[in-house]
Amino acid sequence: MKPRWKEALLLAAALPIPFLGWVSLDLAREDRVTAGNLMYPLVLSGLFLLAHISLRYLRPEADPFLLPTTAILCFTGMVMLLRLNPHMSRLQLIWLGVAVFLMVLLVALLRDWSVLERYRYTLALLGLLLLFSTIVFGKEVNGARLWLVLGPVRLQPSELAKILLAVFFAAYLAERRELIAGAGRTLLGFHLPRPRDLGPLLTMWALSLLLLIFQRDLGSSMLFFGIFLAVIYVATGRLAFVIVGLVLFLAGAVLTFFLFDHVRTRVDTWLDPLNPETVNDESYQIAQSLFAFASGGLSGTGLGRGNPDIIPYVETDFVYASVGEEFGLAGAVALALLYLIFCGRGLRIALQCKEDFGKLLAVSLTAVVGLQSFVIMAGVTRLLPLTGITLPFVSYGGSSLVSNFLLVGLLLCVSEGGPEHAEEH
Amino acid sequence: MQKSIKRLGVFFVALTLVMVVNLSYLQVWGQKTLLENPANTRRLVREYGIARGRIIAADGQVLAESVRSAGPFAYRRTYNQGSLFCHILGYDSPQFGRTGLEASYNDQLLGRKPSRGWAEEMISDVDEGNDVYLTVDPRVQAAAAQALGSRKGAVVAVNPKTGAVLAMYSWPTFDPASLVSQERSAEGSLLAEAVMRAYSENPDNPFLNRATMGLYTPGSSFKVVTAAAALESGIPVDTVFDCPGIWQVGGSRVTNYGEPPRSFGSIDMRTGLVYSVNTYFAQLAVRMGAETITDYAERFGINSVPPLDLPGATASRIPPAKSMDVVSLAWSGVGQAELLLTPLQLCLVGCAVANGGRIMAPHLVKEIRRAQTILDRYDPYVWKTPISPRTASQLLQMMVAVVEEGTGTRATVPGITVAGKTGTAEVEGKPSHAWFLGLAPAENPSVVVAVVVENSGGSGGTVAAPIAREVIRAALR
Repeated sequence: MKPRWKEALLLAAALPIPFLGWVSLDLAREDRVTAGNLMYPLVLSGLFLLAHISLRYLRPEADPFLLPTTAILCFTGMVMLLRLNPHMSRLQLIWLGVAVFLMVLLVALLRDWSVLERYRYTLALLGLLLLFSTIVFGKEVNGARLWLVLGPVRLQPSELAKILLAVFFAAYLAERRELIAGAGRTLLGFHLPRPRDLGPLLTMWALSLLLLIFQRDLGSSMLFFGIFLAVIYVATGRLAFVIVGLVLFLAGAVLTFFLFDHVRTRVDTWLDPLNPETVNDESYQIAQSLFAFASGGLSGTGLGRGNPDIIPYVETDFVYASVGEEFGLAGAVALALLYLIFCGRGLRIALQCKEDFGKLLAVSLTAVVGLQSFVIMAGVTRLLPLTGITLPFVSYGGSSLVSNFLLVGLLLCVSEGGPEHAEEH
Repeated sequence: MQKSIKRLGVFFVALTLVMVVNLSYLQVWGQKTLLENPANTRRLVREYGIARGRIIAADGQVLAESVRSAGPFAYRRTYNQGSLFCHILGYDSPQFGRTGLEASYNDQLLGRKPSRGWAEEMISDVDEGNDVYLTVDPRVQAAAAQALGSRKGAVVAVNPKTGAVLAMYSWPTFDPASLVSQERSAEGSLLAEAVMRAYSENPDNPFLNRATMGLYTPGSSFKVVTAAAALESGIPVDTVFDCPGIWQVGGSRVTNYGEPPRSFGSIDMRTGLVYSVNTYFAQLAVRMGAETITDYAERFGINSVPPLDLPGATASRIPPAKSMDVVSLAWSGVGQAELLLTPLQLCLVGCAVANGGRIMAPHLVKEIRRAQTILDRYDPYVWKTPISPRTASQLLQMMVAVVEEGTGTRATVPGITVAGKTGTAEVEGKPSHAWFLGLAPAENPSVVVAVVVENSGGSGGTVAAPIAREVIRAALR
């Protein structure tokens, strides 16, 4: 079967989600189906149909699983959002339209993705500027300066910076990998990197510490560093970098723990979220999130029948808790598996790509989705300290949606082949 | 690079597995602990989002219902009869939890029981609870409250044929409405918090349902049990003892009431019961032996928790026979020594006498209904059968004489034959408790009343009997 037909079939299989979601939501809330709400599933399926048709013309051989997986995640997110906050769900639908449009545009314009390798320093600079722009122009929301406000639109530049830096990591390491991997001595069967090759690692480490200290953004900090470690590991095949990196990161984290109160609070609430002294205060959110998962049980309370609205910011950082409550363990595991499928496809694209840069780009972009989804899912379930990042494709948030669709667009481009492929067209 | 890409894939699989294990812990194994955490308001928001069922008395009066409320909880409880039924109903508060029938029938009131069948449970939410219909008759309850007045004590009235509780009143009372109120002071603190604190710190313990939880020395009211044990173990009614004012036993003595202790000469069991002669029942107890006394006390339900559908009912107590020496055996026979009874237990002793020797399990709830459809109905059943019908009828005859010619004359209701037994329990260092156990009409008893007035100082015949009289009058009207 041709890839695009596979994609069409898989998308068709995903389509019942928004339609059944809305019917069941209307029934749970009002005991009747409101015809006007049919707009949501229709627009949603329309957007993905559009993306699918565009791919038929632009990238007929691209991976057929990415778009349907993304679609299921988006559908789930939109159903949850309509249930949690109808106003936000309308905004999110608009953002989804923008995101799909930009993805198609990217796929159409980027005939040869290897050009990205050439502009790596420009992209990195742009990424860093975006990342640190909030220190100067940013608006503080909930104790973290992560937002740029442009008229009616609030943007989270770190979301886009994430993609730009991921591209940079791939390009940089594609160039240096031989150099870094080859050198060094072996100690007790363990391959040690040369001190000078640790330069990039230390730079990234400093960058994530800066993020942690100046922006109080533990989530992005962990994420950037994690993506970097994933790419450097794949590029060099040397676990030593990962181990050194993790040790450095932990050391930095311990340092900030002693230096900054807010980090300490974060760790305390992570270790003991149900402490009676903080449970209605600092650890309220995480405690309520855990209660949400518990009340979901095996099969969940059913859509619209739980109380996820008790959790503050349930639409963004805690959307996974609302899935866990209303769809239970079954739904929460299904969502985790969808991310695993996404990552599986991403790594498959990397395996099949013949260019070093392409391989590393696919790995890097895959790591963005894989690590980000894990960090937030683990955060709201107390596996890791809680961080304020979004669940890709599911959480409410325009910047996140647009960036992640651009990411899917890039992966689709890489999946179809390198420069020689572009020349065939 | 192919190898390390594959290894990264394995890493992602491992992360997913860790997530799945973690989720399984939260949602399955560790679920219960999290659900029961006091900070978990989820259960409350859900439970107080339902129009909880009403609690309705035997005459159709609504005793408790839910009304719309502002704030985080959509509904709150109202109690239409103030504190009259407080110990039966309990309270239903998001802050302080539930007590009384609000606790024991919570599932029914929330509409979770009886189950609506799996299909219905799957497709629709419960938004309205089931109504709970009681056996309690507000007229009898009001009569008990009025007769007891502001005296510490309790009144229980039961229909001996079914075990249906007609009235159960304990004083001091509390006001459930003030406890479930969601009103807040200007500073934002819940007004009910202060009310709760005041009740909890009150030394008279208004939360204690003295009818089911109050343990009192039964005094002479226990002689019904002693007599029953004697009759059942083959000691006939006409057994005669010489009954002086003071009977020497085991280096100690048992005395009759009166100053100096009244002497009765040679009397039989009937006279002993009618005039509540301590020296008669002390000798009776010693003749039977401790084994027989404790055995029959336990057959009546002492040392076990009565199967009442109200939480907190307490077992009455008699010490083991082995621990009784002859003095405490003699005093046990007259209801003193280490004996402790709840008013409900004494009432159940009366029920055995009234119902041919069988004690029906006491209950407060008659039916569960949903919009007038009966979903569940209480089926009366025999809890214990301590004595034979013959013994029961012999006891009943003697108890009629107690009211007609003995210590219980103040329980007389014109036109109705009342049977009864008084009790004046001596309490070390405090005024005595006044007891009365009443049965009426004696020909075919349909109400058994037990009354205790705590540390009243007066005798059962003068203090408790008139209260029983009013309750019987209300019940038989």
